[in-house]
Formats: sequence, structure tokens, C-alpha cells
Amino acid sequence: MAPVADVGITTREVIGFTRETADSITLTIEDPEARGFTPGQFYMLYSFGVGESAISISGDPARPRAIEHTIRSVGMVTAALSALRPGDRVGVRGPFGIGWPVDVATGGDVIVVAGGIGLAPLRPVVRHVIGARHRFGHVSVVVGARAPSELLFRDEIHEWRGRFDLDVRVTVDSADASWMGPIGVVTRLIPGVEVDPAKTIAMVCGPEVMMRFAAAELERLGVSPDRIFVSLERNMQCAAGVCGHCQMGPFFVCKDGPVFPYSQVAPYMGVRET
Amino acid sequence: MVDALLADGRTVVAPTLRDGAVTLDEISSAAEVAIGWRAETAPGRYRLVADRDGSIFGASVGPTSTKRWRSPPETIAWTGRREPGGFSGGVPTQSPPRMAFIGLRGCDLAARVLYDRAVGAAPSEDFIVGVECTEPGSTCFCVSMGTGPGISEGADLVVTEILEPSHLLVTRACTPRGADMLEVLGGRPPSAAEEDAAWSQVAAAARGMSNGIDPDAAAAALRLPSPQGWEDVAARCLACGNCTMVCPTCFCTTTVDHTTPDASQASRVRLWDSCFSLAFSEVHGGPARASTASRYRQWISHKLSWWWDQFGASGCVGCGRCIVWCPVGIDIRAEASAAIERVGAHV
Amino acid sequence: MSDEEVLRSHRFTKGAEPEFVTHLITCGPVERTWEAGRPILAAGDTADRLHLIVEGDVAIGLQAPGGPPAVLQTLGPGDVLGWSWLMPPYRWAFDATAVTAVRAITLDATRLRAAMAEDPVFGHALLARLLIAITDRLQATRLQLLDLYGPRR
Repeated sequence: MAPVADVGITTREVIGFTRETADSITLTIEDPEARGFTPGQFYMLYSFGVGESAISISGDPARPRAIEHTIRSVGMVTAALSALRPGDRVGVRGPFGIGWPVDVATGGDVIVVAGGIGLAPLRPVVRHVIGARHRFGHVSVVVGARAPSELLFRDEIHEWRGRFDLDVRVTVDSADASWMGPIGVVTRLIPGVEVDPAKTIAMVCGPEVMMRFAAAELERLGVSPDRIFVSLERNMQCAAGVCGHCQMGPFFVCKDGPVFPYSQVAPYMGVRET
Repeated sequence: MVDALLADGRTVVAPTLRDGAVTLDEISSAAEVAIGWRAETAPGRYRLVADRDGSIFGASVGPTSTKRWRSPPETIAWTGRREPGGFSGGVPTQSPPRMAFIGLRGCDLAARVLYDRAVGAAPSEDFIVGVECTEPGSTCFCVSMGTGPGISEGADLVVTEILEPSHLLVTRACTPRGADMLEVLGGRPPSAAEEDAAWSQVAAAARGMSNGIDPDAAAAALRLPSPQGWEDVAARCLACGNCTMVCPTCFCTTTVDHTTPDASQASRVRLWDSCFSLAFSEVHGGPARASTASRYRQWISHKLSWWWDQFGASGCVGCGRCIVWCPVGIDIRAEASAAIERVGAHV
Repeated sequence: MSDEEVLRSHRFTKGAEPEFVTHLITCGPVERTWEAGRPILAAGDTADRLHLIVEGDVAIGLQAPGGPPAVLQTLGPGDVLGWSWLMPPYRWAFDATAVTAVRAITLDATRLRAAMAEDPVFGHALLARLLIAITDRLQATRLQLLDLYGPRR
């Protein structure tokens, strides 16, 4: 029997490589069919003989022929993927998952809150918003990183800060004397954000603890939990909701998510070991 | 009938005697069907007892269910080889054998449907001979889960074995090809007394069955399970995963990667997996469910509550396999009741 | 804006009863400014004022012997800076330095403590607001300690 998950692996060419930080890189993978994606979706990337890993798409949805993935090297598969260079071939399956509600956010204010590698699946949102800036109200991008050297997309963040129509705030958990910006957890930047909470969609991605505290600060700001969206990380294998690994409570993170309204998943995020 | 099914080119699975149990397995002749056994079951206990009446279907379900053939414990999901400039590969072409299953109980038939729904499988054309139980085990609770012992759908033929007034297999056809098979087999229409005996024995089986689980109360109680209250079962549970292996609706799998020593060829192999394994819920930093308590809670909450959200039905069919084949005799009926009570106590 | 108006529009008094704000005003709010790089408080000095940051970033840190000053976290507009004036020995525990140019509304600690002793209702309200600020700071500090973006341990 061939269950849903047995969609074959397609091989694609790596056409770009950027080192982001000491342990993170961005691969650009060509999609000749330009099938496109929604910000927040992910691919299963396969390294021949090593295995698959779920990697968020971190690129621009308006450029569907060049799919960017930012990969943090944390295990065997991600290490193997991080060793790929332009000209190499990689196995792909996807795109999978429910992405960020950029359509719902249109016409209103937007807050993007990113912690660490969580900025990767949110970068497509920022690029999309910039590409259609007139369709959105006040847009805030709040970024937290471990240290200045671990800040992703540093040059691009500088570009964002250079714009007059984006409110960009960056903080780091620790820094040496050469850093002149805020130091502290990313949640501390949320109270200062100027948005109309009733018209705001907030999109949050980062470690689960950080997302919970960020959601609490956003609620304090007046944003209701069904207008706060989080991207969950669980052990994704089949990406089709049949292997069972990615479940959190009743949800298959791979196909019911990975993006969820906070109101839907908050009860499960709050229970230990769920 | 076995001969007819084999002649039709089907792989025939029927209750056979294997490793001290009457369990479903492939047979090549009718002689391999286990005859004359009853099963004594209790939490963590299964014992065969010789049955002087020579009943064919006197033993309640064995550890194996149809999922073993629907989705074998080990399958090759993908194979590939390196090539200049990259690699190529594909999904091996699958030609699953045409099956015939003899001896599926009401719980088994319900489980087949649920399992297919969970894995997104297309309906099969397997030939099904269902059996209505007249002697439930003490660990059976299909009545409370609404899956038996009577059978109304899901089979081509339904058999009720009676010993009085004489040893007969009262059989009815539920599909056109079931009717065709009955014609091939011959036999005679049952008398009123024989039909009555069949009906009343199944009814008696239903009445004699244990209380089981309240499916709606369990689903509500386990919807958002508390981290408290699982210490008792966690102290007993070995996290061995036996329950998930014998459960006919547990569908979780994992995929492992193999390569040849020279790394020129690779394959991806899909294996049955269990949410009880520590690596199952691995996220960055370690398993999301590290404690045994959280893993037991995950299994029972999924089975009795979240299945409803995912597939519109309870994942439990009341077959009792998890109770029998738990090495320490954990009883899902008792754990469900305890969970319901804990929630009730808080309210 | 007058110093009183700045105090009224600061996050610290947001949603407070009018009597509470009036009481604060009787303690004589004064705006102070610091150029970038200037020290605001020094560890060991007498803790003599409540500072409510209006503009700019403030670095909280400590200078250990033999090492460069270590910055633990920064505060910004809307934050409360310092509550060691509430309890003996009334000494700052950490350094606070202006990272950028900083503006803050400040209140004299002696007058605040007297007002709290004289009017327990005001005292209670002030403590309640400070408790929120302290709890937020503690939670934020704990999150920093968790090193959430760090490698798997």
C-alpha cells in the first residue's frame, strides 16, 4: 500500500549559498517549475543517504524560481545540508503546511516578532509586506538574537531599518561594548510598539518559551489571541499528517500548521510535555 | 472456502496457532486454521485452553490485526543511487497482494475502516469474512465503543458459530460477491431455531461484556489533559510500546535512512513506530515528552480524544489487545475511568 | 510639555487613579537629561531618586574588578529605573549608563517614602505599580538566563 506520504523525492539544484552566522547558512534552491509558496510554509530537504529535515522557506514569495532556506546546523542532516554548495543537488518534497495569514493582515497593522532562527520563516512576510507596502498600515518588525554575531540577515535588517515606513527594533540577549543597541529579551521591545491592536495581526516565531511570553506581551498591548499567530516546531517526518510524530494535542503541526492562531494552541502550549 | 479464495489468487489470512496464541496469519490450506481453542484473557495475561467442542472461532482476538498487511511493519519507501551531478531515485512500485481475511471480529472490522482513514488509504477489495463473537474475553469492551459483537457492515460474509442445537456456522452474505461465495460453498438455509440460537448467543455475549469505557466522557476528559494524575500509571508503565504494536488503529511510523558502505546507493525504510519511544517527540533540545507519564498521557489522550478531532471517531474499538498484551497489565478502561473521575473531581 | 504632563503620560501612571498621580506630583517631579555615555547611577551610591525613563536607552551593568564594564540589559522609554531607594541601605546595586541621550522624569526618594508612610493607600498603590515593573524585569532577566536561542544542551 502506498500511503499519502509516498510522494517521491524530487532533485533540484542548489544555486546559491550564503553564510549567515557561525552555525547558520542560507541555501537557494532552484525551482524550474516556479510553483511558489506561502510565507510560513516549509520543505522537507533530503541529503542523499543521510536523511530529511523540515526547513522553513526564508525567501521572497515574489521570486518562486529561487527558493531560499536558512538552515541551522544542529544535527547530522542539517550539517549535511549545510555542506551543500551551488551546483550540488538536493532532494526536496514540498511545499508543505499552512503559512502566515498575510491576506488577513492586509489593510491593517502588522507586528512581526522573531527570536533567533525564528526570523527565517518570518523574512518572507517582511519581504511580501515591503513588496506591497501600500496595502498595510503600521508595520513593526521586532527581532531578538542571542548576540550580535548571531543576528540573521544583518545587512537586510539594516535595509529595513533604512526605510521610513518600517519600525524595526533589534535586541540581543548579551553583547560586548561594541554593541550600542538594546540588550535584553525580545519581549521587552513589544510594549513600545505603536499599533492599533484592534486592526493588528501579530506573527511570532522563535523558541516556544519565547513565543508564549511574546504572546502575553502582545495580549497586554491589546492584541487578541486570535489575531496572534505562532509557528510551532515539532518532529516532522512525513509532512503529510500520517506518521504521527509532529502531533501536539489534536493538531498535526505539519498539515494543520505550522502556523496556528495562538488562541487555538495556547492551551496545549501551556501544558508541560504536551 | 479457503480453497476457493486461494484459487482466486488471494493471500488468505485466518486464525492460526502461533507462539501460544490464536492469531491472524497467512495460511496455505484450511488445515492451518486453529480449531478447538478458547482464550482466557486478563490484563497482562493470555492463555489458550483446549475447547472440547472443537469451535473454530472460540478464541477472542490475537495480537495481530489487519494493519500488518495494510501497512507492513517494514517497507521500503524510496530507493536511490548516486549519479554524476547528483542522484536519482523513486518510490518502489507497489503491487500489494489481494487479500482475504477470515475471522475478523466486529472490533477488527471497525478498526480496518479507522486505520485506512488515518493513513489516507484507498478502499481495498480484500475479501472479508467477519465473525460475530459469542464468547467475549473479559478484556473485551466492543459494546461500549459501539463496534460489536454484532456485525452490520464491513464484511462480505458474516459468520456466527453456534454449538446448540448443533455445531454450525450460521453465515449470511452482505455483499454480492459474498452471496456468490455462499452459492459456491453450498450449505442450506438455517432453521428458525438455528437463526434464533445465533442471534441470542450474540446478544448474550453483548450483555456479558465488561463495562468498558464511556467514549464521550473520556473524549471530554482527555481533550486538554492535566499533567497531574498520571504518576500511578507512569510508575507501572514500561514505555515498551506493546500496546501500540497490537492496537489495530495505531498508525505511527518512522523512516530510517540506509546506505551501502560505499554510499553509492541509499534507501529510506518506513517502520512501525510508537509514541512511547523517547525519540518520537524529539525537537531541538531533546524530546518534548521525556517522562513516561507524558507519553502514556499522549497515547491515551490521542486514542480516546484527539482521534475525534482528527478523524471524526474514537481511535479505540474495544478489542482489549492493549490490556492483554501489556506486560504489566495496564488497563485502558481503568485509566480512562480514572481520568474521567479526576476531571469530574475538579469540576 | 511640563514635568507634570510628562509624568501623567508615562507608562508608569497608565490607568492609575487621579489621586495617585496627584500624590506623585506633590513629590515634585523633575526632568533630567544625560548625554550619551554619561553615568546615571553608580553602584554603591545613595539611592535617592525614582527615575521614569521618557526617552533613550539606559544600560544596566556592573564593573567587576579587573574587567570592562559588563552590560546586563538595557532599559528604554516607559521603563522604571531603580527601586533600591525603597529599602535600607538605600544604595544602588548596579550601574546605569546612558547609551544614547536620555531623558527621565525623576522624583525625590525621601519625599516619596514620607508620602508613603503618611498615606498608606498611596503607599500601597505605589508599591503595587513598582511590583509589576519589578516582576516584569525579573521575568525578562530569567528569559535571558534561559539562553533560548542557544545550542542544544
